[in-house]
Amino acid sequence: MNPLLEIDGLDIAIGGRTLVRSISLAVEPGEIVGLVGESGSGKSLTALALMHLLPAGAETRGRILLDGEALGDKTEAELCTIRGARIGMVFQEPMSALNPVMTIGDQVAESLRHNGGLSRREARIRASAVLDQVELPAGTVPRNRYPHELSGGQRQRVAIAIAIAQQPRLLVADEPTTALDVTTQAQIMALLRRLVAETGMGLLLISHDLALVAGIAQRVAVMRRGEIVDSGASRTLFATSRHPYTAALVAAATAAPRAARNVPNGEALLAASGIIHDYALPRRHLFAGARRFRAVDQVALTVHRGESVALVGESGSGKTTLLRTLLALDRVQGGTIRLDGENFSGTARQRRRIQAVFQDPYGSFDPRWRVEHLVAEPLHLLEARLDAGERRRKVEAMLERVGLAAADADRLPHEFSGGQRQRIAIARALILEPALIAFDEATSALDVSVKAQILDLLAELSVRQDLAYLFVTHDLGTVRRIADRVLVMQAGRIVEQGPTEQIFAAPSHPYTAALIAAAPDLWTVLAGLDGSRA
Amino acid sequence: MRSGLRLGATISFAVAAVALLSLIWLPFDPTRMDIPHRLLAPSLAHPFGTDPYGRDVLSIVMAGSRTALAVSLAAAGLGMGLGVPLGLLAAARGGIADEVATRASDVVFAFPALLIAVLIAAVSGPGLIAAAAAIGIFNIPVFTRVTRSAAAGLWQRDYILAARISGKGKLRISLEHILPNILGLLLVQGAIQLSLAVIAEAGLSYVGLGIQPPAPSWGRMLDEAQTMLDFAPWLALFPGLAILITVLGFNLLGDGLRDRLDPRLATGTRPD
Repeated sequence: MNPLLEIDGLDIAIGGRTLVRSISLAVEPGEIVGLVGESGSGKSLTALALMHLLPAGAETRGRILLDGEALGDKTEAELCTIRGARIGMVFQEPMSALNPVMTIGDQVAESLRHNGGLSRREARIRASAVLDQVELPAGTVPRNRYPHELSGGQRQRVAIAIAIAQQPRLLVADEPTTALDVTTQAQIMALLRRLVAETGMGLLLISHDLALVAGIAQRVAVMRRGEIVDSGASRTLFATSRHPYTAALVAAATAAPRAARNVPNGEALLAASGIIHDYALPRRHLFAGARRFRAVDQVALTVHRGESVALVGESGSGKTTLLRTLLALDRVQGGTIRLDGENFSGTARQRRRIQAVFQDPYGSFDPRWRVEHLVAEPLHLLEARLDAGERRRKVEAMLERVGLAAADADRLPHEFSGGQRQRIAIARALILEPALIAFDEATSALDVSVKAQILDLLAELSVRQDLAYLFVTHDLGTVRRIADRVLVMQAGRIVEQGPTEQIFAAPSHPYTAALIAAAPDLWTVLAGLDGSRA
Repeated sequence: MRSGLRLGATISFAVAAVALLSLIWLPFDPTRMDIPHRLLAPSLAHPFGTDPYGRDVLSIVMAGSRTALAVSLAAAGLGMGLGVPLGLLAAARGGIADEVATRASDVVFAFPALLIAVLIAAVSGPGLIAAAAAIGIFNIPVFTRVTRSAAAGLWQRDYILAARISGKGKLRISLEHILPNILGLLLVQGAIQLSLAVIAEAGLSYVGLGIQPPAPSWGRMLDEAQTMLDFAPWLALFPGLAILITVLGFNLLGDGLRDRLDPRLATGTRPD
C-alpha cells in the first residue's frame, strides 16, 4: 500500500537560492510525523510546497505524491479541490488565520459550501458538528461568535475545525501551539492526537519544540539548513541520537537543572510590597462609573544580591505589568518599592542599578542606530559625559564580554541574528555594571540551541560579577535552568514561591502543578515512552 | 514602482529648476506690455503665445512657478513646523495633551478647508503671505495626525522602553528615536501636501483671493483666460498644463517615496 503522503527528493529554490534540498518524507494514514527544526531550516517552506502555496518565483523539483497521485501534475483548479478537501492546514497564529469579521460558524461552513457542495443550511449544521468535534460545544461557544471574542486556544480550535471540516486525509500543522500558553498547548495537542485516532488521517506536525514533538509523533525528521539530517522513530531517535546536530538539540532541550547555590541570603536588593496596578476599562455608557481591571493585586517580591529569581505565569497573569512597575516605567499606583533600602523612584542614580532586556530581539533596537551608539545608550545615566574614545573602549569591552567582536560596534542591528541581538541587548544592560538585570521573556523568541547559549552566557556573567537576575517568563525550561527561586503568578497575584527545585519537585498550588504538568519536557516524555514500551 | 519615483523626482526637480531660473533669466519681461503683439498664437518667438496685453505667456508661466512653489512650500512648512511638534507632544504625553491635540485637529478638519481659506484670504486681504497662511493652517492637523499615530506606535516598541530605562526624558526620546524613524513618513506626507497646496493656491488666485497682479500666478492666468477660450485657447492651456504637471510630479514623488520607505516593503537581511 502507498503511504498517504510521500515526498521524494524535494528541492525548493527561491530567487536562485536553494533553500530546501532533497527532502524525502512519508506519512501513513493514522500516523503523526514530526518535522523538527530551528527557524530558517526550511520546515515551513516544505509544508507550503505540499499545498502548492509557495511564494511566486519559487521553483520546486522532486515528487510529492498524495495517495500515489503526483501533485506536481495538477492544474491550479484541481489543486483547489485538493486543498481543504484532502489536505488541511493549521497555522501558528490563529488570529491572523481567521477572518475577523465573520462568525466562527460561518467560517467553518464556508469551507464546506465551497468544496463540499452543501446548501447553506446543511453546511451550518455540519459546521456546528465539526466545532463539537474540536471540543467547542454550542452551549459554551455559540456559533455566532467572532474570532476576537474567543481565547487563543479556542481560536486555534476553530482553525483546526476549518482544516478538518472536509475530512481531509492529511492534516499539516505548522507550529500550531507556539503562540499559546503551555496549558492550552497541552489541550490542543491532546485534541490533535484524538482527532488522528478517530479519523485515521495523517498528521504532519511542524515544530521547533523537540519535547512537544517527541511526546506526540511516532516518527520524527530533523531539519537543518534545508536538509533532513536525521530521522527515525521518536522513541529511539532522541534517546540514541546518532547525529551530532540531533544530539546538540537534545542537549540544549534537556539541560540539567541548575544546582542549588548558596545565595547570600542577607540584604535585599529590590524589595516590593503591596504592589497594585489597575487598568481603566472603557465606560459602558457616558454616565457610568469608570471600570477598572486589577492586573497586579497586592504583590510582594524580593530579590537579594546576586540572586536569580524567576517570575512565572501565563499570558494575562500580570507579570509584565508588574515588571513595568518595578522598572519605574509605569507610575506606582499602590505599594512601595525599595532599592538598596531606599524608596525607588527612578532617579538616574537608581536606574544605574537596574537594567533590562526585552523579548523581541528585532524590536529592542532603534533600527537606525549603530551598535556602538545602542550599547552606549545607558551611559546617559552617568553624571560625567565620557569622551568618544572612552565610550568606544567601554562598548568594545562589553561586546567582547557577551561573545561578540569589538568590530561589531560599527554594524547596524539588522545585520545580526536573533541570538546575536539578544547578546547586544545584554551588553547594553551590562554597560553600567548594574546590580540587577530584568529579562522580559528575553529568550522565548530564540531557537532552542541559541537559547541555551544565551542562558550559559547569563550563568557565566552572574558568577563573574555580583549580579542579580529577575526573569519574567512563561518558559519553565528556562526557569529550571537558571533560577534560584521561583514566583508563580496567576490573575495578578503571587500564588506560590520557593526554591526552584522545591517548586518543581513538589508544587503546592494546583496552578503551579498544572503549569509543570503541561510543559513539555523531553526527559519526562522519553521516560514515558520507555515505560510504555516496557 | 521605482519608475514613478524617478519620474516624480525629475518633474519636481525640473519645476524647482524653472523657478530658480526665472529669478535670473526669462525670455521676456512678464510685466512688459506690447499691445501690437497681443494674442499671438504660439510661435518660435513666443512658444506659448502672448496674452491680450502682448505679454509673453511662457515668461509668465515660468515666473508663476515661483509663486506656486513659494506658497506651497510655505504652507507645507507651516503645517510641518507646527503640526509635527504637536503630534510628537501628543504621542509622548498622552492623556490630556493627546486629547486636546486630537480634538483640536478634528475641529479644524471639520471645516471645509478651501472655503475657510477663502474666508481667511478675504478677511486678511489677498496676497502671497495670506494665501500661504490660509493653506498652511489646514496642513497643521494633517501633520499632527500623521505624526501622532506613527509616534504612538513607536512608543510601544521595546527600544523606547530601553531608552527610558537609560533615563532619557520624553523630549529627548522624541527627538533621538521617534522623529528620525518617522521622517520618511513625514516626507511622503510633505510631498502630498505640496501638491495639494499648489492646487489650493491656484484655486484661491482663480477666485481672486490669492496672488494679486502684477505678480504672476497660474490660477489667475486661468481666470483671465476664461473669456478668451474661443479664440486664444493657449492662454488657458499652458498654465493649466503647468498646474497639472507640477501636481503630478509632487504626487508621484510622494507615492514613490511611500513605496520606497514603507517598512512592510523594506527588505532587511536577517541572517539566522
